[in-house]
Amino acid sequence: MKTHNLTRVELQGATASFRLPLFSLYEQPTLPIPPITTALGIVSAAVGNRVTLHDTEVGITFTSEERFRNMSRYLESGGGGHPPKWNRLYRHHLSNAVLTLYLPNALGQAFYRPQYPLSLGTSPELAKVTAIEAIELQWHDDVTYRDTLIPVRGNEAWLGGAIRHALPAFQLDDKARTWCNVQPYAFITHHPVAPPHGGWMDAEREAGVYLHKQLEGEYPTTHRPIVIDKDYVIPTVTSVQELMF
Amino acid sequence: MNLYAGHVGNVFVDAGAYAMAALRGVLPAALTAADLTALVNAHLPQYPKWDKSFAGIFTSNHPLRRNKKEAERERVKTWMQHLHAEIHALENSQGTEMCYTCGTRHGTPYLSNVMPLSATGPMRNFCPNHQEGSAVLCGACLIAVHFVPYAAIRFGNSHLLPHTANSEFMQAWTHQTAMNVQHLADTPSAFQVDGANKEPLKSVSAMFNIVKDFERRLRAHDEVWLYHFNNNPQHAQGRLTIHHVPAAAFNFVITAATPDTEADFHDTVNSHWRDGYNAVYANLLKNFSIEHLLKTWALARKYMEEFNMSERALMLESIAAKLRVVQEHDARIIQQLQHANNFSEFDNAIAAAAAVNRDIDFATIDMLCLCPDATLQWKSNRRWLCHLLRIEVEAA
Repeated sequence: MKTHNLTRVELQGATASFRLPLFSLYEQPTLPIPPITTALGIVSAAVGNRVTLHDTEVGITFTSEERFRNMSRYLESGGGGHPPKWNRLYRHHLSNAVLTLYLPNALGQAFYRPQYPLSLGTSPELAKVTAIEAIELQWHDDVTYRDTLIPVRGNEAWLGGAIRHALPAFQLDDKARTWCNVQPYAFITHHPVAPPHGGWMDAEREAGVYLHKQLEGEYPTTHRPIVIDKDYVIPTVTSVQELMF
Repeated sequence: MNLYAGHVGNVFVDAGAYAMAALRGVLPAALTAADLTALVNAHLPQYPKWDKSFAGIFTSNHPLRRNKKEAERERVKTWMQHLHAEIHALENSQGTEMCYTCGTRHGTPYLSNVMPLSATGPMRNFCPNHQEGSAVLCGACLIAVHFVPYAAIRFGNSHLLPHTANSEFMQAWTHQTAMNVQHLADTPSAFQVDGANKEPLKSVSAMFNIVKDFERRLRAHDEVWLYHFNNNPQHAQGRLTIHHVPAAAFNFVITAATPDTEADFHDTVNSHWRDGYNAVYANLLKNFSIEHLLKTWALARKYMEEFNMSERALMLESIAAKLRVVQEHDARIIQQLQHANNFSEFDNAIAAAAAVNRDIDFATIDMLCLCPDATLQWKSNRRWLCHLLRIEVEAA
């Protein structure tokens, strides 16, 4: 039997939200499962450096209980000499969220000491790392996937009627965060699907794990690498600070 | 060249592609560049005439609608020429960036005003990660979004648009909506419906009226998201509501409208209209139970079958028939059943009924009352039993 050694990282949060990219004004609906870019963003926060699909493969499962929405009022700055005005924003959230990531061991270890706060969506939605376990995935011919997202192209025949959303596999680091490798992803939530040629299985949880393949080549960065001068010495300042008030 | 090979995952592009296919009488995968040219020539010149009708989808900043000094005819002509150039470019796709929606063709950067529901001013609704509110679109996706109005049900400023991976659903849906829009093309005022505050509910009823004529049922695992939106920020119902409707809700409407229960279903639906609001349709959409609204046993049975309650339906039907006999002897027991406040009182009422009518099998009662999740289901069981008794009494 084929096996694959990975680290399973489980994160829990009281709430989570993963905004549907089509809408941002007035109503911000949430996707039922975090996209790949969001999941790898969380990994990047733990590692402290950018991690993309060029660096690793990743498996994602996500469960939540209820969907609710939260209203905020904000003051919209008026352009062209118009006065600012109050507006409403409804952001949708998912409660009691549990995100499980299947990562190579080196990346999984980073969750013992995350470099930045981990959150499931917006920055106040902090996540708690509840488990980091080394596991062995096994290849099974009869496996079913649930609570995950699967790229549609090449898998149309067995994905059934799950809802599709166009999402990128990664984003550039330019100002516009340009989407790359866009394709529809099926969000498998209520009805499990079974691939015809088998797949990886987490035997402990008796759940199929869809591993998103690592992309070939290097991440096409648009920035020059930042060279940090580790020997930098903070200069001594002798002047007197001016009083502001 | 296959322009619309499958669902791209963008609700506007997918719906527009199916609407174009319905207007041409083909499948989306069969649409060609020549079809796109014919559709643009035939339908786009009508858009300014429907300006108010489509205001809920495209903002006043859309190239076909924006308030410029040039004459309406010139405005349309300029934009159509641009779209023709895009269709021509499809055949020799060139560019630096890939399309944001399909990801398979090269495209051109556009401001968000070409997309539905985009906002004006510094804030943009489409791909808001762009500070300038622009996104790269290929010609096929750009033209598809122009046909969103042909795929949406509209009342006032509210629109209802389905998003699903089920091709048959989309074909059947857009066939109905596109034909309706074409039919009403010459009388734009026919779009207007009185009572602005009731608009969302009316469009929901219209949606189920379309669905009940579908010839084929949905598969159990089909998911349908209904985008209910308007472009008016002052609208009381908000700008966007997404309903996650289970396939069972649609299938119930489709099966209930078959000849054996059609009359009952029409009677049930027609008796629950109030000020443009239909309780049956509204509750189905919100995934609420509608058993108390169903008027006959045949309909109740179909409802339970669709929502995977077939076994319970048989059991409840059998007990309700026996309780009917009890009711003739001692009406108080049935009142106790109706007014049970907790599981224990419900259990006692059933036991009392069994003491009166010995035909009531205790094994069946145990199944009903003592099943593993009885404490969770007792309220639902009581509601069903009381409703079925009422139906039996009315039938008698």
